Amino acid sequence: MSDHPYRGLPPEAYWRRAIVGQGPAIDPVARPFLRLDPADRVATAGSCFAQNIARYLKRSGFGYLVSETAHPIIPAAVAERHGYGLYSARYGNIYTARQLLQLIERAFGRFTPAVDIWDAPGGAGRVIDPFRPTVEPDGYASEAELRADRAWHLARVREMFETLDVFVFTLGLTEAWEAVEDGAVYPVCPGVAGGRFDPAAHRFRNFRVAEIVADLTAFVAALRAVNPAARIILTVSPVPLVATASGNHVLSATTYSKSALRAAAQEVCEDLPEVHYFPSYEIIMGAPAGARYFAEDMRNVTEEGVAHVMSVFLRHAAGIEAGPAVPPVERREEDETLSAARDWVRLMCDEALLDDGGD
Amino acid sequence: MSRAIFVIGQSHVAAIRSAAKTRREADPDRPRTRVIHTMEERYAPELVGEGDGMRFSLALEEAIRDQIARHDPVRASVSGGNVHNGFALIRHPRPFDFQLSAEAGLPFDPAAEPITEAMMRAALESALDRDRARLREIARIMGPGVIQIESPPPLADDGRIAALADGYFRERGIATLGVAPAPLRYKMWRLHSRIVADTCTELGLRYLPVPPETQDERGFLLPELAGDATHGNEAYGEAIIRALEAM
Repeated sequence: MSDHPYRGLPPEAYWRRAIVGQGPAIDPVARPFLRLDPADRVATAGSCFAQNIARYLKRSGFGYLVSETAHPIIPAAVAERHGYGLYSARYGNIYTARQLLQLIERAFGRFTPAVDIWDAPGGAGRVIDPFRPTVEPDGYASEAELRADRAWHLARVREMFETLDVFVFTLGLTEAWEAVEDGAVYPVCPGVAGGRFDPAAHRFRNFRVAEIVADLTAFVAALRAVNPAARIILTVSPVPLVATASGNHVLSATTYSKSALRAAAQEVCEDLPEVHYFPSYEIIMGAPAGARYFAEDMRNVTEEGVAHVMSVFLRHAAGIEAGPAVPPVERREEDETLSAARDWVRLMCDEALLDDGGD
Repeated sequence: MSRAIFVIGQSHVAAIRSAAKTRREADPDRPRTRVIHTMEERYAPELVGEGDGMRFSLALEEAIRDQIARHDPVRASVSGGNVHNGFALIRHPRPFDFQLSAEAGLPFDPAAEPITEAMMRAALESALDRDRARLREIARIMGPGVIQIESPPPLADDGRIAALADGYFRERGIATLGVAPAPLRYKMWRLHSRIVADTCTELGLRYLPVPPETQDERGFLLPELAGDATHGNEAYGEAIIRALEAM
């Protein structure tokens, strides 16, 4: 029998040995993966599935980098409603590679979209940021307030890109809406969460593999221009499209979208140094899981699925064998300055109580 | 005005009580102004229950009803009115600022961390649970038509607040933090007033802004009317009584 390249391959190269009889708990990481040091500052961004990655990383002993935190006088529940704590900065979901590229270009002043303010859905003079329309649930009170907040935000984004050691980006969609005038890509179609849809000003895009590769490549170059040692992990969200404007059935549109993202991620990882692919998509979507990691709507990923993804991630990135516990709800202590100031005000009030002038 | 006045509240009643005492001593036959400080020991615990079920203690409720039954007074409240000072009296080591809507021309510090008005409002509201419960109880027990009086404006004088703050924090071995910028103190007071006014509208209470004669040209409390860093003095209390008489 002659020798051939398949002879002697490791078990994970064979479906029968790697998959059959293994149940859903598949570990599809074959090659040496990026290794995280506890001191590494890890930043995250991406589509909504990326929120799960951020949630687990924060609780797994890594130096999870958050460059944009809510001010400590803001209660945790309020901060959460206003988009803090989801990612390393307050940019909300970043669904497409083009959106990510434009974020870094905007942060470093190389791209200024012509239209960068939308009317809030409730009107009344309130406005929203088209590039992160959900961070202020009722919109900003004024354009001046929005611009001040955006300037602060983009400064924190710059800080994040300049100081991170590892950037985890979860690719979510190929479909997006952009401004005809300058190609500014929005995370949400104009008119859905604010703004007004204008067919003459907005157009649908369904990015192709080559475009995604080009955007990711340009992003990596921009990132390494300010942070040459930055390492990158790409993942693809397994969460299907909530809706498609492509004209295809939403299942076909989802298949195209995820396939293109997966292919683009592969190409970028093969072409660029220190860009790694992590198979979240495969773990959840692969046949071994038998759709058991999806909730009843067959769209949202269950906590069990997320835990499996993160246990594989931690095994390869950090050598942690025990699966991660479900992260507890974060608690925030009261701000020290606020507490001290309240004590002082309380004392003044108590002193006023002592003054019972008679009535 | 020929009616008595009854004012309920906490620390801000002190200025009114002091003014009322001086009035009574000067003219015993004049209609009297009486106050109840809800946190006095005799009413403790001031509030019982949790959340929306919080109620004034029975002793406090009976005292309020007794005042109304005996004197049929003009009913007013200075309840609450200090939560905003916890946020913006002391300079925070992470300086922040916010833009107040619908009031043009107020300074905004571009070097400070911006907090949106909506977030600032939510933070203030989250600290106002107890004050809201008090107002609900005031509306329930004292009936419609109660006049809620705006809390005193902040002092403009950084130095005076700083002197008071330095003494307090030094005694406790806490480093001097400094005083929050006056425009921030002013905006926080305005935002607090809006929240309380909105609550009053929901509860059917009337809302009386501070008398203009107590404010300087920028809206701050006249220095001669300050009791300490957050309260008015007897002269301020007298201005409040006059404003109630004029209604």
